[in-house]
Formats: sequence, structure tokens, C-alpha cells
Amino acid sequence: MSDSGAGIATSAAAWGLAPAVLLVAVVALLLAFGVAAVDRLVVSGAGSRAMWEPLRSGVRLMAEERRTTLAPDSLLWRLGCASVPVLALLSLAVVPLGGRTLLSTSADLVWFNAMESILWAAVWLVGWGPNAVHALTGGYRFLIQGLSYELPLMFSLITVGIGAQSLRATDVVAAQESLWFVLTMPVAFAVFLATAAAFAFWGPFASPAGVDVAGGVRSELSGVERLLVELGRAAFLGAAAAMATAAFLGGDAGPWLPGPVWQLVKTVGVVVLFVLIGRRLPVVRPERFVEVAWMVLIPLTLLQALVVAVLSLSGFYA
Amino acid sequence: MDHGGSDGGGMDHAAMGHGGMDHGGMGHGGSDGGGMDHAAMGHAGMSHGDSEDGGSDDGGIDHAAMDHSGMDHSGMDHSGMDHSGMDHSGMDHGGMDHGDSDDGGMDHGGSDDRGMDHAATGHVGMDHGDDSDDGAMDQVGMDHAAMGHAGMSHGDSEDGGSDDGEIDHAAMDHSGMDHGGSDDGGMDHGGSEHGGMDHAAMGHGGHGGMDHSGHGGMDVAGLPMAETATDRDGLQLDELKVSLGPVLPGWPTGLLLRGRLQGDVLTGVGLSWLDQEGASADALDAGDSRPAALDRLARFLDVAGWPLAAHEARQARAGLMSHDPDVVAQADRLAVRVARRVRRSRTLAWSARGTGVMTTEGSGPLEGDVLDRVRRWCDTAAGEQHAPEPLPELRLDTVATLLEGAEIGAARLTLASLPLSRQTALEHSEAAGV
Amino acid sequence: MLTDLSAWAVTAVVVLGALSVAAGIAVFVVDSMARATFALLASFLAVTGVLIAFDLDYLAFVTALMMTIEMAIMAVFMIMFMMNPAGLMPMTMVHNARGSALVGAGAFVALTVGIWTIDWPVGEVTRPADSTRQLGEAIMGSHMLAMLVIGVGLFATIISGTLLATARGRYDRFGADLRAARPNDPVPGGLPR
Repeated sequence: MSDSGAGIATSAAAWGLAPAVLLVAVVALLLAFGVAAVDRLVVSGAGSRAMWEPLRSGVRLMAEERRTTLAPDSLLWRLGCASVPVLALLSLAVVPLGGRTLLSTSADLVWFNAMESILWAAVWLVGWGPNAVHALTGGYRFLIQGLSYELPLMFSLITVGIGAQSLRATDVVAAQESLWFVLTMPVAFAVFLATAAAFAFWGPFASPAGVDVAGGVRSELSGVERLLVELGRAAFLGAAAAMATAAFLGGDAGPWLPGPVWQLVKTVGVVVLFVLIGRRLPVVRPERFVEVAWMVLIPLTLLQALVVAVLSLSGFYA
Repeated sequence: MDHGGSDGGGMDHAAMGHGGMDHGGMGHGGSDGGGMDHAAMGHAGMSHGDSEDGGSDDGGIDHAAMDHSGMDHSGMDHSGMDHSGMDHSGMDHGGMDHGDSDDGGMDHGGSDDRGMDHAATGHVGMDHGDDSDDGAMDQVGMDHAAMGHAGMSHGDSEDGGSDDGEIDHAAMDHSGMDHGGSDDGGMDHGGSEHGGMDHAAMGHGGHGGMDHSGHGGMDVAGLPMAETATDRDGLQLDELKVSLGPVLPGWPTGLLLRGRLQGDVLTGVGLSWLDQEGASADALDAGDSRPAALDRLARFLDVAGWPLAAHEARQARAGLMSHDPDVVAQADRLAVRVARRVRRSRTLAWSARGTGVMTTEGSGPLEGDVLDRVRRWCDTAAGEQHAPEPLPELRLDTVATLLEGAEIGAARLTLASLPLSRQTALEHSEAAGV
Repeated sequence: MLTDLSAWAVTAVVVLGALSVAAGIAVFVVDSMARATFALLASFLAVTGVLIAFDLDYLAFVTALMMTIEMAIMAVFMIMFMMNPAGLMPMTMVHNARGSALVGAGAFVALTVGIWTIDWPVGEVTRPADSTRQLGEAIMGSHMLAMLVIGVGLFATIISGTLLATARGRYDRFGADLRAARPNDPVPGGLPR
């Protein structure tokens, strides 16, 4: 990994590898819990006691006995289940935490995108493994949805790269000192949020785990495996919120308060936005979304990239 | 059935490819003879006589247009038959008419026995008893136990090495077969593709205790492999025999859907009610009160993936049933609010529009697509519509045609938008004296 | 060339290289379509690791990204179209086992011998501080023509492949005179047209 970028210290270099990895893991867990807790609060409409429900069900899942299906492909199934949270952790590795990332490469944004794309394989395997109709259908749906959102997601990340003149996450944050990217890239921001919900198959994009396919990719999961997948999903959504904060909302920049507090406030704000909007909408069927993604979102994000490129050439971001 | 230690919970014979067998009234028309359900056939007493079928080759048999009505198998004696070496590849059972036999519930429609390979079938020791836990199996109506094969006599023919290539069963008469008596209903082997079966070395001697597990190579762990077929767009795609129901979230309880799945597209859909022979009876739940409408709305919203709205609809329904006038008033407001939100949701309209369109004349309040129907319930749920039109007659086969070529998701939305009810179906069929 | 790399990087290249070859062999050993596909993906991800060890970050991540998506789609197509329908049925990826083994082994030996025996030119070029920037400048500068030709060529291939595969054309969708307001599709899309 090239740390050779001038004077940029990763959190691993600054605090030691083990504490830095631990930090990322703890942040991932907290983000996952945060997403699940906010979601519970909004869905149940009950008081603050409801927000502890995800913890309780997490503990219950750990103790639960695993069910299995007839003739599953156990190797691939387990691999898929384990990959979901690991990929969430890895995508969080390039999100600046306290001003530093665990990994810093010259292509952080592409790394984030690559982790999300490996999630395709992981979720497909979670659907494939149990050898069951509903789970397999969920797997198919995830890929269809992936084909719809992948290009808009890439273009929105590239737009950020154009604005920052770098694909390194810390450079992206630094480039927003004077102006948050969300102001000149509203389309990219909205598309990023929507696609984040899509790759965590959550909210209106939850059809891979939809009730109409009896839970889809989740339908045959139980015990620790269910916990891993649910945790990974929530952590992915949290990581996406943290990434949206870094890429569009100026990261940890803000007056009066210390940086990490600002970053936390913004990230929690994005999570609440996710839940409030996501839970108010019914699930969007993949066959409807695919046409809109290709006919509307791709041209829109390309146009957004063009606008930002012209602004960048004219020295707007300098 | 003894699935050899397998965990019946996960057994989905739906996938087995006996695709929607329906021996009730045995319309074998167009069937390929595949996927019969031999569960508990009670061949125990069969005697295959002394015939020796070793090495026969039945390739290319055409059973089309067979008429089995009036067959009398009683008194057959199969004892000692040896079918080893038979090759049934290429049999075409298409167009069989099994006449009046009473195999309640089997449906051979569309199954396909191409190239069966029964080698090592080892029917010895089959236990179709009640201890199997076949999760999604459909126990409806098949009745092979006590098929009355006991005492069949296939005579003393000596078929060793014969070539039955052009056998014409056209004149066979099976009616009068007595499949009755037992109640092994509907083990749904739906979809077991016997593709590549080879009857070589089948030991038919002693059918008491068949063991279907291990149709040498054609199925894995008791689950047969999928086969390919032409899809909606004319591509050769893998197709999986499935059965959905009888219990799923937001699903009319007791409804069974059998069909084939290519990717997530359903074809060859057949619907029936559990425990009910008159599968196509009028099955609409006529309840049009506000609680009933809210119930349907909640079920539909579950399927449409809108848990928050579904939760509120249930809350409103619970409140309306209360005796406390305050609670009722509150529930009334909630019901109006939910109904209005669902009615006005652009995302729902965008997602559900154009699905499950019923154009049939006289479908009255069911006319239109999923969205039209749901919006009508919203009116009822909000208490706006006071004089609802009477629901028309709706047969399950009409519903099945709506689901043909739909994605699972679209099919689920369509079903959730129709007030189907097993209870009503039962009442109707009783009224009709079925 | 190799001496430029740290001991860690050399070890990583050797281990990951061996891993990618092993995963590649596994493609032809495993007996299910899904496993073969994901063994191939494992091989590509090992190559990604090798590229990372060479400090070629962008190329590495793009390899992981493209190959995973490709393999996921390929898995679906292979499973839906080809010989191993439900996937758990024993199958093999090997056809003409002897011939292909000979050709494969021959190519492997020829390439390996070539790599280690050729006297590669040692340039005076220093490693760039930012390989991603250098790659971008090459693609958008000196090699732009080649990249554009390849890009357009690939795009044209995708479109013509889809056209050949689909049985439905615009006359099926919009009627013989192409005047239908809404296309007649088995499944309506999401746009109001």
C-alpha cells in the first residue's frame, strides 16, 4: 500500500497497527448499532427503550442454534456470510476517522467502491448457499439491483474525485475546507445515499431481503450467520454514512466543536436521514428501478460529473 | 417416506419437479408422465410374476392419447419381475388420458421424463409413512396407498431382451383402478425431473418399502436437479419446479401455488387450496367491513415492503374493534391517515402500477391492476365507501392466469391484492355440494 | 526490478502468486459451477493482492471491482444457461482433458521460462510517487486513442451481443408502424412512457 503520498500518515502509522484496526472495528460496531437503534426507534415509534432491542436480539442470535437446509453449499454459504461484515470493515478502513484513515492509498474512493462490489459476490453466495428458492431469488434480485446502481455510484464517487483532484480520502476532506462538495454536487450526494441504501439492501431497496420472497437472502439464515449478515448490513450503511460525511459534508470540519464531534454529528445526521426517508417509502421493485437507473440516473450523474469537471478546470475548487 | 436421515424441514419437494401433479380427475392431457407421486403406493402386495424384462429398450414409446379408463389392475401378479436393463429414455407420455381414475390431486401436467435413469433405484425399503417432515410438501389429496395393486398379475410373459421401441399403449384402459382409500395426499414431488432416468437394474420385486432416495445421479440429497426450458423471451433457461405456500407472510393461508421458476419468473402456475379437492371453487373473502379492509391492506403492505404503514394499519384495525369510544375515534383517524397515505404514495403507485391487471368483464371491484384494487380497499378502510359492490366470482384458475409469466414479486403483490380466503372457498364448495 | 521491492512485498507476491495459481487450478477440480466461478474470483483477488504489493493501487482495486462484478454475473448466467442447473450436481469444467492439460502446461512452461530467461531492459525510470496519477495521465494522454478505440469497441460488442440475444425488437415493442405510445413489454419498466 503506498503510504508514499507526501506526509500523509495513516492511523496505523500514527497510533500503531493494532489500535488503529481496533478503532475501525469499534467504530464499525458503533455505527452498526447506531443504524439499527435509529431504525428501531423510527419503526416501533416507542420510547428510547426500543433502541436497545438490536443488542438484545444480537445476543439472542449468538445463542441461537443454527438451522440448516437440505443439501446446502456450506462452504460458499459460510464464506458469503462471513464476508459481509468483513467487507464493511474494509470499506471503513479508507474513511477518515479523527482525520486519519487506516489505509491511505492513491485510490481510496476506488477501494471503497471495490469493497462494495465484492459485496455482490458475498450477498449472492448468501442467497446461493442454502439451496432454497427464496434465498436464491433474493440473490438474483441483489445482482439486478447492483447492475442498476453500480454505474451511478461509480460516477458519483468519480465526481468527488474530480472535485478534489485526488482519489485519496484525506485529500477529499482537505479539499472541502472552503466549500462542502454537497453544494456543488447535490446530485452525486443524493445518488450516493440512494446507492448506499441499495448495496446494504435496506429501506426502499430491500427487495433482495423482501417479505415477498420470505426474507430473500436472509430467509434461511439463523444464529451467528444471521447476526453476521445483519451486522454487516448495518455496518455497511453506517460506513456509507461516514463516507458521505467525508466526501460531501466536509468530514470533520466545523466551527467551535472539535473535529471528531462534528464528524459524529454529521454521520448520525446522515443515518437519521437514511432512516427517516427510507422507512417512509415502500420497497421499490428491481424491474422498475433498473430502467430509471439506466435512463435517468446515469445521464444525471454524468452531467453532474461534467459540471464539476468544468468548475474544476475553471479553478473553482482551487 | 424415508428420506434417509435428511432433515425434512428443509425438504422442498416443490423443487422435485413432479410439477403440479393432479390426478384428481386426472387430466393427463399434455403431461409427460413425469413426476408421479408414488408415495406410499402400497405396492407391498404386488406380485410381478415371473416376467423377465432384462434388457428391454423402450426408447421412443409414445403414450400419447392413452386412455386408462376402465382398467382393472386387480389380480395382477408382479412377483419376480426383473426390469433390469430397461431404458425408458425418450418416452413421451404426452396426451395421456387417465380417464376416471381417482388420484385426487396429482397433476402430471408438464412434467417430463426424458431420459430417466432409475439405475440403482432400489425401491426396497421405501417408507412413505407419516414420520416424514416434509415442510412444504403438499399432502393434499393423493391417494396411492392401497392402490390395490396387490394381486396384480402381469402374467408369465418373458420379455427378456425384448425391444419395446414402438409400444403403443393407446388402448390401455386404466379406469377402475382403485387408488382410493389411503390418504397420502399430495406429496408434492412437483418438479422432480426424471431426466436421464434409466430403469436398468430396477428390482421391482418387493415394492413394499420403496426407497426413492438416490435416483442414481438425477437428484442430490433427494432433491432432483432443475432442467432447462424455453423462457418468456425464448431463451433456454434453467427452470426449477417450486411450490409456494401454504403459509407465507401476507399469503392467503392454505393456498398452494405450484409452478416453474426461471430466475424469478413464474410459469405453469397452478393454484389450489390445502385440504380441498374442488381446487377452483369460488374463493373470495366477501367481508367488506373496515376491519377486513384494514386487514387486507396490512397484508398487502407487508408484501409491498412497507412495514411502517402495515404496522399502522394493524394498529387501526385493533383500535376499531375496541369497546372504548375514545380508542375507536383515535383508530378511525389513524385508519383514515394510513388509507390516505397509501392511496397517495407515488412510490407505491410507481412500483405496483400495471401489475396483475384483471380485464375480465364483470370483475367489478376487482377490475384494474393491483393499485386500483388496493385503492378501493383504502376507500373502505377510510370508511368512505358505504355501498360496496358485491364481489364477483373468482376462480383460482383465473387467478393463476394472472400470475403466468410474472416475477415472484409481482405474483405476490397480485395475490395480496385479491381477497382470497380458504374459508370462503370451503363454504362455497360445501354449498355447491362438492 | 525485484530488488526495488521490500522483503514483505516479495513474500506477498510469491505467496499470492502461488495462491492465484492454486485457485485457478481449483476451477477445474471443484464439481460445481458456483464453486468454479468463485475459485476463479479468488484467483483474481490474489492477483489484486499482487498488484497492491507492486504499489499499483488503482489497477489493483479496479481489478477487484471489475472481476467481482463480472464473476457474479457470470455465475448467474452459467447457472441459468448451462449444464449444471442447480449447481450442486457434480460437474466438471474440463473438456478434452488431455489436450487442454497439455496446452495449459505448455503455455505455463513457455511463459515462465520466457519471464525468467529474457534479459528485460532495466530503465532509469524512477517509481512514481503516485501511480494512480501517472496511470490517469497515460490513459488520458499518450494512450487515449487506444483506450477510446478499446472502449467503444467493447461497448459496441455489448450492444450487438444483446441485440443478437434478444428475440424482441422495436417492432414487437412499439407495433409495426412504431406508433404505440407505450412499449408492449412483458414487464413494464419504471419510466412513465
